[in-house]
Amino acid sequence: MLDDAQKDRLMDLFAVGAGLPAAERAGFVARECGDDPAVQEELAELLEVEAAELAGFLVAPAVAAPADPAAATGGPAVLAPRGPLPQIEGYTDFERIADGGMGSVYKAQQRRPVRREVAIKLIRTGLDSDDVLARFAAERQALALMSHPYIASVHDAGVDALGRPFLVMEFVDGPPINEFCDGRRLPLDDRLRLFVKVCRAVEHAHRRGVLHRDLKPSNVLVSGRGDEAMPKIIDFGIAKALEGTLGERSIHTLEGSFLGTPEYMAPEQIEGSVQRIDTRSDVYSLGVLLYELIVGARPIDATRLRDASVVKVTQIVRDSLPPKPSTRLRGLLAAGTGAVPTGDDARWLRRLCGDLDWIVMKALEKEPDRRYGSARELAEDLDNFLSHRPVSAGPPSGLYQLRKFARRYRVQFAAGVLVLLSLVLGLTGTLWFLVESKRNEADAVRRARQAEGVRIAAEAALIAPADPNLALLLALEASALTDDVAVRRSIYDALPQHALRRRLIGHDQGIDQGGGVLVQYLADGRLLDSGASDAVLWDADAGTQLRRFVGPRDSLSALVIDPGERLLLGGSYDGRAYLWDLATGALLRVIEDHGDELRGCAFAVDGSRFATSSLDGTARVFATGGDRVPLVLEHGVAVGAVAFMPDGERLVTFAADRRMRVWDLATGRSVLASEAVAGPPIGAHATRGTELFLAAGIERVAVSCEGTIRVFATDGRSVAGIDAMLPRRYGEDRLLVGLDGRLGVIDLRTGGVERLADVPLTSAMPSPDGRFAVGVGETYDHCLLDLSSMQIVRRYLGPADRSPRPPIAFHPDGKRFAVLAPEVRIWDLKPEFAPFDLPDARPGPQGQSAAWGDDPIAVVRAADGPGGTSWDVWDVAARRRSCTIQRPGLSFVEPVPGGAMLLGGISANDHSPAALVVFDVAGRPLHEIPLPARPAFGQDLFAALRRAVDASGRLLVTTEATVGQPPLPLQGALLQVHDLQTGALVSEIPHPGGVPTWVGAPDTGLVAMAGWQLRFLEVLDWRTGEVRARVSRPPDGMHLEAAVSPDGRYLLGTLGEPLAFVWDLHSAGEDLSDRPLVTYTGLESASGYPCGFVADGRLCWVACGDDVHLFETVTGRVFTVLHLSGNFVGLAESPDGAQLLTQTIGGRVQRFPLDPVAAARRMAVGQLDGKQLAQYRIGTPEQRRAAERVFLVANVSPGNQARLGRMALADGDLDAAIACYERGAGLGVLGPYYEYLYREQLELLCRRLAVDGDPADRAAALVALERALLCGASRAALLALPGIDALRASPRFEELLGG
Amino acid sequence: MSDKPITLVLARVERGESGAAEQLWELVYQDLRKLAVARLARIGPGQTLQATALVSEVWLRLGGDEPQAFDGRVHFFGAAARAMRNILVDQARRKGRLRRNSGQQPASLDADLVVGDDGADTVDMIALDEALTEFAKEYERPARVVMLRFFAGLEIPQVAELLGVTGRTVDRDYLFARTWLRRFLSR
Repeated sequence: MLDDAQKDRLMDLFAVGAGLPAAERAGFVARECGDDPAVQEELAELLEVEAAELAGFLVAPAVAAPADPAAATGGPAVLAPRGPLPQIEGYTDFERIADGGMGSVYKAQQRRPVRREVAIKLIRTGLDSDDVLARFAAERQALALMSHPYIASVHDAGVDALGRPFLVMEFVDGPPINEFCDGRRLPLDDRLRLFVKVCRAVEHAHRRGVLHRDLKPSNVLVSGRGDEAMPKIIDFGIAKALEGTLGERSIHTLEGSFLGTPEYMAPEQIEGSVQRIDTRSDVYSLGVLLYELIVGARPIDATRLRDASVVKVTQIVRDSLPPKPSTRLRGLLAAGTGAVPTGDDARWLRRLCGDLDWIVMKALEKEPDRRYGSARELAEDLDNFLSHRPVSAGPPSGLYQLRKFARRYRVQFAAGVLVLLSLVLGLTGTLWFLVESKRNEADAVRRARQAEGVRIAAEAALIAPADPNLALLLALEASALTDDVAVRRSIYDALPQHALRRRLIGHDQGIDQGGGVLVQYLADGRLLDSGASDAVLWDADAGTQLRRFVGPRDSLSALVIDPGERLLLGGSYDGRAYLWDLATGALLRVIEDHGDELRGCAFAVDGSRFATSSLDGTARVFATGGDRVPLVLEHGVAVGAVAFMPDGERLVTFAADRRMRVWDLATGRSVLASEAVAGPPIGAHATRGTELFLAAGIERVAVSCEGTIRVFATDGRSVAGIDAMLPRRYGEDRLLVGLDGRLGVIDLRTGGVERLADVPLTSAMPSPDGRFAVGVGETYDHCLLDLSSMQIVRRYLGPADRSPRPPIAFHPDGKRFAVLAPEVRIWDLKPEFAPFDLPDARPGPQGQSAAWGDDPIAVVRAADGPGGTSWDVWDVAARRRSCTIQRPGLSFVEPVPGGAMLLGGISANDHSPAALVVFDVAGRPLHEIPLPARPAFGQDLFAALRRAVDASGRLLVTTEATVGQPPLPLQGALLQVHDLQTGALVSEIPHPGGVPTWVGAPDTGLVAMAGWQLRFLEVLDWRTGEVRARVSRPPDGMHLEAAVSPDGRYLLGTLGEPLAFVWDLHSAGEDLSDRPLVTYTGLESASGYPCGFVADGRLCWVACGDDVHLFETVTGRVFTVLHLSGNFVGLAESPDGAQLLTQTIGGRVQRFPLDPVAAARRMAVGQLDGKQLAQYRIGTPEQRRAAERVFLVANVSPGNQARLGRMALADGDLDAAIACYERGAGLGVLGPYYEYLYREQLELLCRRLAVDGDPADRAAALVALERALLCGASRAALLALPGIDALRASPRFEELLGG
Repeated sequence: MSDKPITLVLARVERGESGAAEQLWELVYQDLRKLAVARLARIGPGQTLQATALVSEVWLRLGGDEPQAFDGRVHFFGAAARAMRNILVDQARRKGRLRRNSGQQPASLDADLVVGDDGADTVDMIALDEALTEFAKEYERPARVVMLRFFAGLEIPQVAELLGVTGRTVDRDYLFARTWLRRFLSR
């Protein structure tokens, strides 16, 4: 036997040798491998066979042929040697030139009536030659009508000596059109001109009622060169001619036998619906042909690149279009698998982009109605393109996509579709414009992309409630197409469905779904979750592991925390119970008393005792402290669940004899055994998953076991037995259960059952307040059920655990919940971006009402009482009121930038002058800043006092303004600057008043002032009053607002009209009036235009009624428009710049991701698997790996375990890698697909064996070796494994691989 | 997700899910067999069906025209080739059995599907099956080339792409394989 190196050598030499004439081969063999007799012998033999015997052996693919030997003589198999040349009278000099599924084509000389070269197609057919001939005769009538220079004519037809029908056609001396074009490196336009000729010819035939039905390159031959190139379409109507013999759906039926290339067939043709095949089917084929000519690949083609990743997203869009030619070619070029014949890639691509794309795509529409109506229309559009005239094709219209979308989601989105419609209507306008403005091609392409992006984004927003995962993907695709503002808006709409707060990944080995899988919050918000045989305590907010509880050698069957949250008790299938210290993670005790698998675990209410139950037929009660002999409660049958009565003196158990027992723990005796509930006995193993629910207050005990819930009275009487499962405690006296695939409620008092409306949930966990429940829906996602309305109000991303009892736990605050599937996902009940209405808010004055320190806070005016107006401060993130501030005369309270302090204003009254009060965020006053007594500060301080705190929250500038029309400068007004930390006055200068804004950091000494008193905007030094820059344009309206970018460079101002201006303070001189850098015109008329900068000054925001416009500072390009639900009150930016907090009148607070695309991508990191992340180039490689890991752990299979093993190996952890392979091999799958698994396992085991020589590894390696062989691994490959020699000494090795 | 079976199954095979490969094989085999039999029933004696056409038909029928499924092409064509091989070998076996037993034409549609004839120049499919099994033990890639080329009916460039080698290599492998198999069969 040859080794691998010899084989390689043999194959190499054979390849060379086979190319040599037979006479030279012997010398070649001797020369090349005289040194290796084994190779030499083999090579000589093979070369001999190749020369002498090979012939046509296995040349063509296998065929399935009829069994009738008589019929087979027609030469059915390609395996058959070439038959004798046909004999047809009048034709000589036959020369076989091609073989096809339908027969062979010969070149021949026609002798009479004229001498000419012809092509003869000999149809390989069976018995019905007569019928075929009749058909041909009929079809020839039609064919004869065609006389076109680009269509090969049919001269004659008949039957040969053997009874085979044949066709005599014009002989075309030329290659298929694609080879012609590529061979001559034809430029794009020449290709199109050639193709137009083809279209014209097809049109000619169509007008005479003849369809080709099999247009493909090999049926379009080209002779001549350059402009003289002449296409010839062959085989026109042949398909039709053969069709009749073969029944109704013949095109389809016959496709297998001679049409052969489904890639060129129109969908309706593929479907075989003969009635629907018409000229447009040929148009489709022409489209494919054109695609191939200009791209070099077919639209539906095996060479489709993985790079065409966005396509994957549209997989929901049924019948999604193939990539546009330009997209495709770009991908091919990028992947190095395509080439532009002219070598000028960029130019070729540019030419493709836009019109040509749409022309091809229109020809390739799935619906015939949407294609070109005829080949002529296609040709005309191409002519238009060639002569730079407008074309009729455009991007795929939204309406069509909408129809398909609506078809898929008809019920859910009836309303949503209306929204989409309005978008589509807008889109139509865009398209019309597109056609009109042909001048700028690049612009048109951009617009088309934009329209497509908008469409996809709209779809994302619509689909979000039903499938947030998909919505996210669509949003990402849309964002890749365009940065249009509409896309951003749609993404905002799609985003609020995403509420994932955190993922915790703690168990490499996944979880054991049959076991005591648990996820549970402690009262303080820490979270415990269990893996297959370990448990982890998390700081869920920080995402860090606090403790890991290890010890069990097998999966946990039960896990409980004592009521005092000091101890953790776990029962395992390994027959032991484990007691841990929750605080330290220390394993306090291992209880080995039970002789069989543990089933139930329970703590007494006071935590002084705990109980365990087991298949061994006992329940045992232990004292938590000390080593006192446990109390053994003998049942005689396997014991399922156990629970302590609230008094701690009695224990309730449920055993496999279907009896509920109550035990007196003082005596160790059973004081009560219920009657056995009707039904077959429960097998011992079925006690797995038994649950006990005590409702001692109403003297009820409920047991869930084997799909039945039994309710007992505490006196042992059976109250009810209900076929229901997966109970969750729902208040004191009820259980929420799965009932017949729906959700139900069991009333424990009566055993009565209420089936909750049509909610398709099999199980749900009620929230602590009982208002909501989280369950797993039919599509295995988590659903939030509003228990009052019985509606599913929200769905959460990501897979749910499919085990019968999905682990779900509510946070004690009821505002988030955790699921274990198989990593912990923590969801906000209400998503981060969902609007939040602050209760009791009343319309308050407009001003700074939101700020963002560590957490976003918002201040609302709450109530007017005798003690004055009270102001509520809200922690928006926690959705909690953090304090209420009330003081007589308190006319405003607002947060200071940075969110660390609050500033309040007290109007002057009879007793005291007006003053400012600085509070900390808890509402405690820090100090007061007295204000100079002035008439304007009389009754409504808020209306008169103008103020601004710099971005660092350090300095406060105040001015004053009058209210009234026309406003007049105030006499004796001041501009004051105070230090907020101390309350000290820093500076004071006379100033006529206005609205101040800080310019840059406070130490620049600059503020900007805007005010109608001034009738201008100006930038001045607050220490000296010196004016640095000024806009003296007279305002038209009353309100002027201004803001300055953090770097002090840009001044943003509104002058009382729906216009915003940005001035560059650096480049402009002192008078800025007519030289704004940017004029933003997107605003609508409103009563005021509060404005500011976000994103480090890169973006300006201007509020205008219900909208907040964001635009780029330097370009004025719109970034996005946030739609608020009411009139704007305030806005704050998060310190990381990722989110904006908006507040509207009435106290609705909403968080917007500043960049929804980035937010979507961020979310994707938590929610997509590694492959998808890679596809969208989202996240870091580590994040992708982590996501992939989660996926692999969650989907246990041999292959995935092998992948995990490889990942571990890449991390350099050989032991972990081997463990993964062991787990994969442990699944026991054998088959050729898993050969690699055992081979790799073997290799790793050998590697470890070489290090430590552990006999266990040797044994395991031999098992892996045997399995690899069973799966078909080649001995040679196994023998070549590095380190395999370590096994050689073993006799088993010899048995397996020896000989 | 697409509801086309092939998409789902290929995705699962890609991920290495347990049983997915077997499911793919089942899916392809059943469809290929049904299709082949149905086609033959319709077109009547005399016509032939090519493996190429059958396999690409199955590909399309199972939804293989969707681009995202292309990731799984290797699996698909591997399975298709295996399925075709099984169908052909089974047919050859059945035919041999029927001939021996009664000399009658088989009554079931299934039996209409055979390879070639018993003529001297056609391949003994059962022997070829054995030969290929032996060959695969020694020369893995060339054996896969035979599977994809001969049984799945793929063109050389397609085979090359699936195996991630050049067309030249496929050509070489195929010639080598044919020669090796020819020798095996004539021994």
